[in-house]
Amino acid sequence: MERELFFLWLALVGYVLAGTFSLIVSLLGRRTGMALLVMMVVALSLHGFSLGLRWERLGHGPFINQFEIISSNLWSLTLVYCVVYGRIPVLRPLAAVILPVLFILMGWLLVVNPFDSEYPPTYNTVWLYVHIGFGKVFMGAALVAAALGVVVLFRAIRPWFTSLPADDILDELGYRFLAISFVFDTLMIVAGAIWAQDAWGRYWNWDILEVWSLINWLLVTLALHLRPTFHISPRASAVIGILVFIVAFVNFFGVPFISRTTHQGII
Amino acid sequence: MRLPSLASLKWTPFFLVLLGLGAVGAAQGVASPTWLLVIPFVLLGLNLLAAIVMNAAFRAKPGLLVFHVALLGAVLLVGMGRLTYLKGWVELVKGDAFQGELTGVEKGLWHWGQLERVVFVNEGFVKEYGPNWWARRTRNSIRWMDEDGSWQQGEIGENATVTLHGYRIYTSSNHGFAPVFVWHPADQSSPIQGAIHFPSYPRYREQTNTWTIPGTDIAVVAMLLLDEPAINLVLGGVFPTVPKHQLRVTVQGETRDLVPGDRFPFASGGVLHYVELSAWMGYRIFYDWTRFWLLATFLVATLSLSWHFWRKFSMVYIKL
Repeated sequence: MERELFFLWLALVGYVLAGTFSLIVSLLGRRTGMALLVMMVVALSLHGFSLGLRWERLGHGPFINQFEIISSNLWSLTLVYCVVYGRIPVLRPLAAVILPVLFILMGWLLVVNPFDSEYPPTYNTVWLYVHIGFGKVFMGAALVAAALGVVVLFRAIRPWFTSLPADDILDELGYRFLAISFVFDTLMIVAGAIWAQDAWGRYWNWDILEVWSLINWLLVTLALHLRPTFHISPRASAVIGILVFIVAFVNFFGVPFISRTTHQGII
Repeated sequence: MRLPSLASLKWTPFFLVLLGLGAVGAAQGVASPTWLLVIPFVLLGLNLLAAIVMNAAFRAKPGLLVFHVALLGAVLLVGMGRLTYLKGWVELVKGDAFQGELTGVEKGLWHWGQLERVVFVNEGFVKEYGPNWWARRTRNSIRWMDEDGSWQQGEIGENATVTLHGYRIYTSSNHGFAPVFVWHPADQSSPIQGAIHFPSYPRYREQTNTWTIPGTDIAVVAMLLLDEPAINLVLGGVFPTVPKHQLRVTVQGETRDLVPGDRFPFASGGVLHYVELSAWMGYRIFYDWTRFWLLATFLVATLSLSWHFWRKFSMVYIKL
């Protein structure tokens, strides 16, 4: 376990260095450029190596206990952000919003016991991996949509993030990321239902995690309906986008650990 | 103020909020869960149907249209599923056959299945446990009669089920010890074999239960006395492992400790023969013909929505 924790520590140091670099460069009014992406990819690779070592040692993926769930989601959210950073250069200043969220996860990861998890036999199905994979894309897209919303709300208070496009364009981009998150949220729920049917003999049981995931899905649906129907302002859209991410965050990192049903600790 | 027509998309967010509240209410058990969900689903369904009929712009977007129609179909399928489903459970001792009789059942009003045609035999199982009695793999050998009436053999366990006449058979996490008896009546009529199902092990430590001998009013109260836990708490192990034990049996005020092979003659006549300590497995049986169609409907819905978004977003280029 020492080896995987060593590489995890290296990765965390890399993330922190990248985040600090991004904040300093942003404060100086300069662009972060490819240097930040390189730093993030190096840290991501170290983190991925650490997760791989754990996977190989325990014989199952990093998504059973709280340590593994936070760690693997930190990795996947960083990956999504790196893709956005590389593909949409104009959105690079979003680092100032997204990295603090990732820092929260890193801080949380440091105080969680990295004990070895036991793999329940009901989790031994490919549908679990499909369910988790879709869930990570959903969460990543929701994070970017929420970050765009945060920028819109910040700009209502102070003239920050001036290098980013105008509010209406950020609003449209946020809508598109929410649309992506909606598709993957739907796929996540469907894959989860198939897994639940195989594992426990029911595809839906109204357990606390399922109810929260339905509420999350309805909230994204609501966000997608409100914008074209009521022509709500970018600020109102921003609030709903942030709300979607907060509910998703609670659903991913909170509900599984208070659930007393068989469906817990697994995203 | 005029209310918008039922076809107006302005209703949709309100009905979605209503559905969210209904879901929370159903989960909290504040009222009849069925009605809390049926009402918003019906309202959303009517809103959608009216929008499809009245709103030409909606019909002009095939991806969006297919997505919504698929959602409507999914809601109808869920409704049909709830009317026709069956969820049951049964416990079978090794060697016992299931022939359509469940210990407990929940089912829809219109369940028209053929459970009586489902026949399978529990041929024995092994449940692996890790340290701290952490449940691991279940391997249950069963034999079943297929549609042609011939016997088939296979193994079921977590994520591995067998489907007979539309009914899916699952092992459950419930299993326990089952002392097997043969009752020899005083009148020399045919012996009767039976078993006491003790509470699920190792979930419950206290292993006691009562069995009324069939055809009599004689109650047999049995308690399993284990010299040590059947599964090592530190190392784990497998269940069922028959441990060193005694069976404390009380009948008509008289108590005896029995080991396999012992006979217990009753003062009122008849002899109870303790044959062996076997084990029972709890099975769940599930029927819902809509399952496959629901999956297909959701896949159509997701694909059509993805196509819709792809077309929509690729048509409007954002200059960044």
